[in-house]
Amino acid sequence: MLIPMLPLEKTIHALWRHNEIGDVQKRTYLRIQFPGYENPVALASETAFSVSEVEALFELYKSISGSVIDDGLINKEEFQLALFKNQKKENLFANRIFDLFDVKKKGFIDFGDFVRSLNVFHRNAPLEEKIDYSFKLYDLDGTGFIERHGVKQMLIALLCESQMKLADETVEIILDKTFMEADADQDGKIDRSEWQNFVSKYPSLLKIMTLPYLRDITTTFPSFVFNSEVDEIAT
Amino acid sequence: MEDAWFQMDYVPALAYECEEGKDDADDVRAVYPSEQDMEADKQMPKSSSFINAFQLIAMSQDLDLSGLFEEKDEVKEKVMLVSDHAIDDTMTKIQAAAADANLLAERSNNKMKMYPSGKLPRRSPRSYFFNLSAEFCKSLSSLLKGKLMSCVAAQAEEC
Repeated sequence: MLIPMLPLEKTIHALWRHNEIGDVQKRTYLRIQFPGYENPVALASETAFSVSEVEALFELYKSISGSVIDDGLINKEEFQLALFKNQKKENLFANRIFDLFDVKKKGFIDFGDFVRSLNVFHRNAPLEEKIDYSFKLYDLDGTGFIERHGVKQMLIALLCESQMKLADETVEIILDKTFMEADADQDGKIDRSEWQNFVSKYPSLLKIMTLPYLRDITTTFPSFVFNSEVDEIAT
Repeated sequence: MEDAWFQMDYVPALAYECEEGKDDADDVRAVYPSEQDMEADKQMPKSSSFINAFQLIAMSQDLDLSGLFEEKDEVKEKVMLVSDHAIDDTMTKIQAAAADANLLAERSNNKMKMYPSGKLPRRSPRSYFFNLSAEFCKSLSSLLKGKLMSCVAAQAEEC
């Protein structure tokens, strides 16, 4: 069989399609190129994504993870680049989100981390997970509580980002009022259950925990079609 | 439906569709409480129109992961405006600015939806909406009298 000069991955895929190599070989190749690669079928079964959607996410993952260093992993710079189209732009929120995506705390995000983290933002992900995630997001120092100085830091970061100007006094008033309401036992910090109650009063706070784009992912990344395993399952 | 009650505040729907979930850019929220609200707050529990810290933080675009799914050249710029005026005042100004730019502004509670008024030119290019937005921004910023930072083009949506 003539194999045209294609990029390595396409070659592997072509060989697989023609039964020149088996699933094991194909997966081995992918696991070498992309440490932490997991079978889309397995990931789909553990998340709200379909197999096609996981495959589409893999296309996205490939382009992000190869954008600065082609090591099959997403580092902080590549994450920033993907998010802001600017690898130099660093900020509080992006750092926090990166840390949450970096589940194993290795300084990079692998494909499994990527899919599982994005899963929380899926429309169908359980509310409990979204509440958990948002709590961790705002718990800047990882103390297990959302603390006032952390919220103040985030407010200030927001004001900088948007070039909004609010008087210091106003910021303090907003913080006071927020904590007066959210911090039920008035111990100066918001614990997990206080957060849960607060969020049920203000459900719009969880809006950031759902990405409408995830719905369209298979149309956004159609190249997955050429690498799809879905046909295989059907036969 | 003929009853007068239904006719109040009725804005006829326009003959095109906006993609769901993409009208966030057109919502301009007034976050600054009025002087009277502040006074009242000191004596009474907060009024329902007072924004809390987390609602503000949630407006951050840096918390918006949708950038992961966008192409390089599709970078959208969102603008956040702050008004010194009370909510109702601000809403009125937004509506006035919208009218200046040939936009219809529809208010529901503390949200605003905006549509180009009248018929859209067929196959409106992106630049059409870009210009509409720019006009609106200019008008609004002069109405709010310069408390605005630079008003960059708002998100231009293809409807």
